[in-house]
Amino acid sequence: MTSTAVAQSIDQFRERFTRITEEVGRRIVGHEEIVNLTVTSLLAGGHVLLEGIPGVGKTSLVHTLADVLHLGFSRIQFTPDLMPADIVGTNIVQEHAHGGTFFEFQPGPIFANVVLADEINRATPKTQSALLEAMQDVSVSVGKTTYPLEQPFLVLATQNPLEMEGTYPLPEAQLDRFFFKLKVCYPGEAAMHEILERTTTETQTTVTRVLDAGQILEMRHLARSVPIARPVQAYAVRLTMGSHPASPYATALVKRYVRYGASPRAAQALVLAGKIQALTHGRAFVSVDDIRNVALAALRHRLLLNFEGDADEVSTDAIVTELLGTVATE
Amino acid sequence: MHDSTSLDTAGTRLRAGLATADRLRRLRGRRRRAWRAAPYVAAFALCAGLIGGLKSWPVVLPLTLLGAGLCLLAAYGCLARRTRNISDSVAAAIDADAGLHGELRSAHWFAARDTHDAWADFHVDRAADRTASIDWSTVYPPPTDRRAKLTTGGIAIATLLLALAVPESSGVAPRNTDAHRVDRIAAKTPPVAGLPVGLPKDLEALLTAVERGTLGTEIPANAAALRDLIDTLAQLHGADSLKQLARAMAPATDAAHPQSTDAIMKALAERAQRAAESAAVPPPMRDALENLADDLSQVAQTERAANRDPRDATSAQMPQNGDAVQTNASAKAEELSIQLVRDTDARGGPAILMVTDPNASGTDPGTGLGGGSGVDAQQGRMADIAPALRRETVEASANSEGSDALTDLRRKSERGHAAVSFTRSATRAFDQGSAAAPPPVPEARRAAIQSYFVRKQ
Repeated sequence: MTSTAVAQSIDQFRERFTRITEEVGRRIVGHEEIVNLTVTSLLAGGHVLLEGIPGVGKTSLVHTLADVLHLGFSRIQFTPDLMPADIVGTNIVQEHAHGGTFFEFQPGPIFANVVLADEINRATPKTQSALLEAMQDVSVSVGKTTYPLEQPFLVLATQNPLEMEGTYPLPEAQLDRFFFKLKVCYPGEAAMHEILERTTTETQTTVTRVLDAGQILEMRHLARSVPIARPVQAYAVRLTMGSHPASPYATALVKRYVRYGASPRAAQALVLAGKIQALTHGRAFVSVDDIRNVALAALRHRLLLNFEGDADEVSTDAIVTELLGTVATE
Repeated sequence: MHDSTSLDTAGTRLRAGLATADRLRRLRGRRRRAWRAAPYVAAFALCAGLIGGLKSWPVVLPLTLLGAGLCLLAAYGCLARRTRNISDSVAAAIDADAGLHGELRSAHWFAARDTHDAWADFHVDRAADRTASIDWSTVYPPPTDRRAKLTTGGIAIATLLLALAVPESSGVAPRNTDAHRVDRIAAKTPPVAGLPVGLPKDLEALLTAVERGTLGTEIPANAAALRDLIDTLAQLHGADSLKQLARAMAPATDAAHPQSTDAIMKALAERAQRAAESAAVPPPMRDALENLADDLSQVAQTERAANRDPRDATSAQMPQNGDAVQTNASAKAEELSIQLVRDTDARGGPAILMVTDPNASGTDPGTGLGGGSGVDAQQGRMADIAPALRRETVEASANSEGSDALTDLRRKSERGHAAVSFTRSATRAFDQGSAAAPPPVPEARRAAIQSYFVRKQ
């Protein structure tokens, strides 16, 4: 690969990324940062947990993304009575034409490129755990058979932070498998006007498919080629280790309120997302700012608070923000 | 495929650009610090000049301080021109100053590695181009610091003017106090009958050198002039000569409050005695100085007695009613002395007889060296006492083993004994009734604790 080819690859990546975000932005208003990080997670091969109150556009975002990317889409509405087989599929008895029966696997909704796990915290932990293998290994095991899922595979889960009655908080192992946790907030005043103009008139906003699965996989491969200097990588490591109370980089809030810090998956997310951020800015290197820009989304759901943190209702965002302000970049 | 030659070229360009940036950055930082410190250095030199004018320090001192300080600051600033290895933190700082968003820092790390790929080569090459396109003199412009420069210049000029404005002969700031004093003594001393020419100047120079601890450097300890001075001092015994010498060497005093002759002589005697006690003084000169100090003290005492109230002087010189008593006491002392000699001779051992002046005050002379405790009386001379004291003086370094009998006694007395004792207590049954109940859960935390421990069903 020559320098010219590298430059062309970077430009192509940037152009495709911009096309995705612009196309999604035609329907989703006021959530540019959410769209940006969601596409980043898709290109890094990660999954996204979207948290926000009802009506801010979480589900619409996922729908729009699937439309734009020309990918297979399925939606699973998580309810307390949802069973794992309802997600991954099950073996059903079929009859041969010449007589006799046999088991045939009936794939569940997990067999899609983009899976919307809507209100994921309403299902029981047993059902939630049905996603673990799919999210980590991109495969599903039913009985003695393991079925690979089609790439690219992206789980976009949503949850409501307000309605806690009848919900089951996601276990730590499940949370750790999400690349990012994004908090979808209220749109601003100007964005609200835009939303009303687009949704309360006769005109329907349509989006076009700008990329296919092959191009997305190509972009994933390209993102992993971006080199990262050791000092920048060391910063990501310090940030991750700083979330542990016993670490020398731990801040006062971490020491006081955190029970367990972020796992190595957090460092992987920081570096991978940093590489994609660098490419989207037309750079062939990762900077410390790239790491810092994605740190909140990559770390906030990986910190497990202790009792005092829960009792004082400490936000993990505050802890990560303090980490970013304390851990040295050099 | 990437070309390693082009990579080396890009890496070399990148390192050269970084080195230039680092040099300018350090130069700027050091110059800024130097200019920040320069006014303080100049002010210190000016203060030294002002204080030196009051304390009679050399005029060149502030100028030397000013020059040395500014030279040090200039050297400190020029040291930044050296090329040094650039660390990651330095590269990061330069990167931030140039607004390159981490490109320079990252490329600097890759340029220092041996393993490369197309992406790293592209990255380093692009960073080298960007580094070369930056005008580092605009990123790190030389510091202006006009206020510091003006302040430093003003203070330096003031220091220079202060040094030039104070004439050497004004008496405000003589160049060298000691040398000036010696010259003044030489100038004010006319040839005196009975006093060798140049003796005050030579003696003053000697005493000054001893007091400053420069006897071996400014005045060679074995110089011929020093031997001549010893001979001259040995011949100096007359009271008039000693008075002339003391007056010639007396420091300049206020005309309204002139010092008496005995005070001047006493002061000179003390100086001579202190000089005689210095280890740097050769033994012949030490003896000569001690003799001079004794003679001066003796003449000073005589002078003081002569200057007393005439009634006292009359009572001391003319015998009146108490004179008979004093005569009888003297006679008794003489008889005691004679008796002591007789007793000593009878035992056949040595005896020491102190012969005192019968005109002394009424105290008994006693036996042994020295004399009575009378103040005004002429007792045993210091010249006789000093050698005896020197014989009895035990050097601290010449301590002999075995003589410190008290040491062992003290050590024995410090030896102590300690006893350890144990106490046992009978086992007691735990009384649950006396156990305290756990503190109640605060009302504000109760809901949080319940939600923490009780899982939702």
